[in-house]
Amino acid sequence: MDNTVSQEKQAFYQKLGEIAGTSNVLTGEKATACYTVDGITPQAIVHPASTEQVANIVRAANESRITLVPWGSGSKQQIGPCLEAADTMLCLGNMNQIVELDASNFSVQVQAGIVNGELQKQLAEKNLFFPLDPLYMETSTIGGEIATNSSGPRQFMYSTVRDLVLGVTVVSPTGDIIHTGGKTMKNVAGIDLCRMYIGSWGTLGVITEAVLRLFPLPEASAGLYITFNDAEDAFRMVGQLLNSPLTPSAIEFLDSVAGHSVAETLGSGLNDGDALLIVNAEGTRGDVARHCQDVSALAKTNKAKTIMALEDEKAFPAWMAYRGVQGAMLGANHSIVQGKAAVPISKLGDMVQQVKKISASHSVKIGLTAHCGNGILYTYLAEEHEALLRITDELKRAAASLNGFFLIELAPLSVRKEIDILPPRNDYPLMRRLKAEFDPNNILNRGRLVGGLG
Amino acid sequence: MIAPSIIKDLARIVGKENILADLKDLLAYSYDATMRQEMPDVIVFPRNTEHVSAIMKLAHREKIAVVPRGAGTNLSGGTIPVKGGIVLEISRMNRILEINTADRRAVVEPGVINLDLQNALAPLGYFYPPDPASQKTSTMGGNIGENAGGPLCLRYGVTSKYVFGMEVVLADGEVINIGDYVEDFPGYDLRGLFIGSEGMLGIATKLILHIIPKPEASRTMLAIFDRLEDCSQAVSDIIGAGIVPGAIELLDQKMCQVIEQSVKAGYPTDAAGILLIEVAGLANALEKQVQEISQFCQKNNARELRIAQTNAERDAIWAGRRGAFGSVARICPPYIVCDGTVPRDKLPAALHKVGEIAEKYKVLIVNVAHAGDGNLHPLILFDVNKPEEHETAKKAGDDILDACIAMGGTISGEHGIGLEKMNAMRHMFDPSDMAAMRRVKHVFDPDDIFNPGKMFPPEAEAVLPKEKGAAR
Amino acid sequence: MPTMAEELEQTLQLCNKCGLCLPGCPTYRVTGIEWASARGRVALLRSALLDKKLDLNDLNEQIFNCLTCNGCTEHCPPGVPTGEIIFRVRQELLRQKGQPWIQRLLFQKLLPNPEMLYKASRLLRLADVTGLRTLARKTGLTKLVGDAGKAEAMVPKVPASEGLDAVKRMVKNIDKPKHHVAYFVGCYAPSFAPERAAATIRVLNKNQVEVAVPDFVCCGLPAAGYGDMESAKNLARKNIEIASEMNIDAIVTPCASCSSYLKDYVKLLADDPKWAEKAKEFAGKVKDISEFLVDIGLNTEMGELKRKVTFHDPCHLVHYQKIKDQPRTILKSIPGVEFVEMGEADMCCGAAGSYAFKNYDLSQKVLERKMGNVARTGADTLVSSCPACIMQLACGVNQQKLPVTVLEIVELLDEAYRNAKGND
Repeated sequence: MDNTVSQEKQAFYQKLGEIAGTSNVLTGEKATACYTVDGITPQAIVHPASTEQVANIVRAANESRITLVPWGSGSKQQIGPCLEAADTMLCLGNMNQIVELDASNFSVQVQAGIVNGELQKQLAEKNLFFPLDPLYMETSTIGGEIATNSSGPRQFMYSTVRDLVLGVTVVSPTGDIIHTGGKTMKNVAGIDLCRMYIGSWGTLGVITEAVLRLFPLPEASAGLYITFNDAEDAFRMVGQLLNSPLTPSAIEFLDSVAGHSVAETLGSGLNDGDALLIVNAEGTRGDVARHCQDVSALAKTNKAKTIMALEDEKAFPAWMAYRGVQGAMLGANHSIVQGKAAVPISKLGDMVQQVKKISASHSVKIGLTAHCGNGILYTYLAEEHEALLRITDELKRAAASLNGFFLIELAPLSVRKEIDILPPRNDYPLMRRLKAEFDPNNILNRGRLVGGLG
Repeated sequence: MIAPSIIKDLARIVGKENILADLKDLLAYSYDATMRQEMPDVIVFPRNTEHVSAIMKLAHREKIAVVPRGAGTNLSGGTIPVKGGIVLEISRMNRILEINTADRRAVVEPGVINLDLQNALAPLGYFYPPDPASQKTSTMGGNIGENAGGPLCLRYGVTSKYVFGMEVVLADGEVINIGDYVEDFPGYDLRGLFIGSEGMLGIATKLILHIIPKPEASRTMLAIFDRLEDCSQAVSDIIGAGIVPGAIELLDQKMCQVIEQSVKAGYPTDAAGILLIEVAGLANALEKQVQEISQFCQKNNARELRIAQTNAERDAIWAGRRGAFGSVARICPPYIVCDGTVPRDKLPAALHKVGEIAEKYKVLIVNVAHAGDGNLHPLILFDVNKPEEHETAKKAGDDILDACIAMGGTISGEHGIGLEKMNAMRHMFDPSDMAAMRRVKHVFDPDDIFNPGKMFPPEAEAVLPKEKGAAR
Repeated sequence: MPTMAEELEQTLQLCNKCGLCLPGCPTYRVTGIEWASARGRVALLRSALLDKKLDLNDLNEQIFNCLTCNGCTEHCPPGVPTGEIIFRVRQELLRQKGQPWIQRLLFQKLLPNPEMLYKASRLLRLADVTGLRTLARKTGLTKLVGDAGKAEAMVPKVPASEGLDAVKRMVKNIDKPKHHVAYFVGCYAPSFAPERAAATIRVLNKNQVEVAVPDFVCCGLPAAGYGDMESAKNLARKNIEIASEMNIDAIVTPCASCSSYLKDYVKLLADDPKWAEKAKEFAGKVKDISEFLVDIGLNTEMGELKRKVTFHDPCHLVHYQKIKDQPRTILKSIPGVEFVEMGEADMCCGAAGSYAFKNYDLSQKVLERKMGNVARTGADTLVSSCPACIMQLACGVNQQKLPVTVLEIVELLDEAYRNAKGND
């Protein structure tokens, strides 16, 4: 390493202490090793306490060309194109406070480092909730969820991050504090920067605060757990459900590989080739009762094997088992590969059939879960490198043939280095110009997202 | 003025029959629904994406301003060609290309009129929720440019929620696709930037929209209050209880009086304010909601509650609200519509403030509000023949916007900035916020071809981004 | 005398440019051009008359390609009467330029005289029989009257008929009449569609209405439409005079344009002290046939008609007289008829009196849009209540080869009454 650079970096680390307090700066191999991402171990970890501190840190980093990686809880650091540089991890975990809970306006302003699960507990005391429910919500931070555009099953009823976040405060890569959006439900003043930062993976700025749109806790809820002998029956039913005036909050599909643990919780089993559909309903008692009745009837006409309607807290164990599916599948094998396909909603069943064909032709087990109302399918497979590339290729072709796309989200570094992660699109050049405009020195999350292309 | 050769070049692209350039043509495209007028140099009617791309290549090469235009109904001066140049009129790109209910998508060209799309969807049992007051006239392209709202947006959300993908022509004529037919595409949410950008970033030539099934049933009611405070408190109570009505519209006494002069909707003229409430959803769950809403209205001293029992009664209740702007126009054609928005619970305070401002400037202000969203539409009336009254009305409007900002609100809920609210932008945003917006504009349109002279106040033009991007 | 600009100033300033009129304007809908809309026309007239940025003569196209259907005013919050403004401006242009000989002949000589009008139509009939029409087409003679040449194909074949006298002979005395009306036959039926006149009389008779057919002249609308107000007033005076000598409850016509303009005599003659009162009395008696039949309580003793029917609202009925429900009430009361509402039912068909002859291309575009709406209903019968609309609609149905029969509402009613049990 060049000495002068090293000196400049040393000066920067010194400055970190001045800005955030030395106790909030960690250096040294031991402390930083566990922050290693994509084989890169940072030199320093800093835990700022305020937006101003973040701004000072980023400004100093930009001046010294220090690369930064914003860090919430780290749950998504392994996803997507590989990181190319990380001198310092900018951890927002200490910025975990509610700034203002405006219960009568159904909005809350939070610091980015607050953990979703923690926030929900505090909101529940006021009989409110924030509908964003990515699978890792018990550990992931709100800032991280916004930056990575992470939504969960409830997106079918409540939509995704872009419709649930009213505004964000961001520190730009040059250290400016930028306020976007506000507390109002409608806002069309100026260019909508808020949505630009949502899903930008920390490459355009560091999200330090957010205003979230809240909802009152529903009066009642229910989960319908329906098994089928064949995924085809399940998706026929989904089509009919979607074309009805019913308004379920989530429609989730699991194949027999992924649905195994959930079925166990329910005290039943799934045979190879079986499918499990979870339909959640929430709202007034009347709404929920009607959903239980009509969804069950629909299931019957579509040759359902078993139907269980679990009301209120009776649905919790099975739901928690579902939420654990992804973790369980990944946890068993570190070389597991998680992929995501997005296809037109009506083509989801076709995509599942295609995956099954591919899985059979390679004699490899592929676990599947899907958000049926949104056309999103997750695939989980563990396979030797060689076959994996071929399988990935076939999955991409299958999704493309249905007018959708497939991409690898989570995979060992060696795999991610070798494949084109992002599907082809013609707006990447514009995105890269946006990145260059906002982050001229490419200090934020270098290599991530569109930075990983060309 | 642009050179005659440019007009010839344009004619070569789209054909002579799709060009207008006589004095009368230019005059007809010099205005929109605001009180301003500026002359363009030529009007072009592209028929397809290739036309738009070729026009933009020409404009880019010659550095000519281009103003995308739909039906010209916007209320903020967004389609006034302040720097002359080309008006790119999308009204002839008006085909509905695809409706796929199983995918919940409709693909349309930008010149499709909002209501024409609704009429195509209705027989299929589907609808596209954003319902701006101009929906009979305004184009989908224009709706996207302004991020249009409407009464139904309380329950369903505004335009930005229902646009999934777009084909867009950039300032240099490049055609790109942003967003997607499918969900959760990777990369920056460029469509988020694009929607509501008032024609300043590019022009959409194809739109992929999200459509949803119509609710099974709906109930409409009218609640009458003797105190405006009670009226807005009832709104807070209803929504606070977790009921998300299809719409809650508030009209004050003066508004009711004006409406009754022309529409005869049966609104009381002696009450301080009324609420129009519509709930929608599953038939069996609605009765309970209606009862709860009734209770909240009674609790807040509603003196009368009318629940529509027939379609005709429902239509009558809505007819007054739909005719609100029109009724005002009947007694006073020129008026300023404010579009300030506040956090919902600040609505009573905001309405009170509007009353004070009306008194201060001695102007007549009537109020209608999308109460559930905290979106106010005070209408400030003035005499078109008295320029000084117009000035006073403008000042009152600025004061209302400032009051909204002070309450944690915003200067536009659904009408956009355009020319009308450029100055208020300074009160709303820091220089760094505005600089970030200008960076976005610079990335999309470095030569300031698209709709120049809008949104950013002139003073802010001097505030350049602190560090120039590497892309320059 | 105030100038036209002074006269129109207040009215023009009523427009606040909101654009809500655009969907109601057929010429805007088919061209997408701002100046082909009401807002555009008003804005340009404002530029010409008030701001003096334009010469009125530069606006000939905008002034004369307005269908004056009043669809805009229906949608207009301040209720700007664009149609009236256009009429006023046409009148001014006429004053400045004088009238083309063909119009002068028509408005001043033929229309005031049913006999001469009938003779003129016989010339057309003669042309049909002798093949002269083909000759005229081939030699381009029909182009003499501008776009009317292109529209020549629309002119219906002229049947053998004997004019108003023939209609008069159709009148029968009935038992115990409850109502006595004067039938305003209009210019079209006697020469071109005597069978419709017969149907009208039969339908009225079936409703216990005794019908008289006096020597009414043209209502005056065609002349007014081209700005010849003096001719229009003369025609009005003549009609009022005829009616004043009769003992009748109502003046009934199945032609929407006629009923609309007859009711407008109040305005037309408002400034004429000698005639203003008489005009009011006259107009008070004028009824469109649907309006009249529903008013007196329609006789529903009809036979079954197996038809899927849709209705096109004539502008002069729906926009000018606000008559929308009555024709539908009638159609729905015919046994066996399945009524389907058509999209944009109240949008002009493009006929607009003689408009189709003068602005053929634009008129065709408006008609094409109408035919699309008709086709989408799946109806086998298209009903309207205005001869000009019927002519235009029939032409559209032919062009598009739609499996649709075009009928006047009285024709359908007549058919239903003839089908009634116990009928001869």
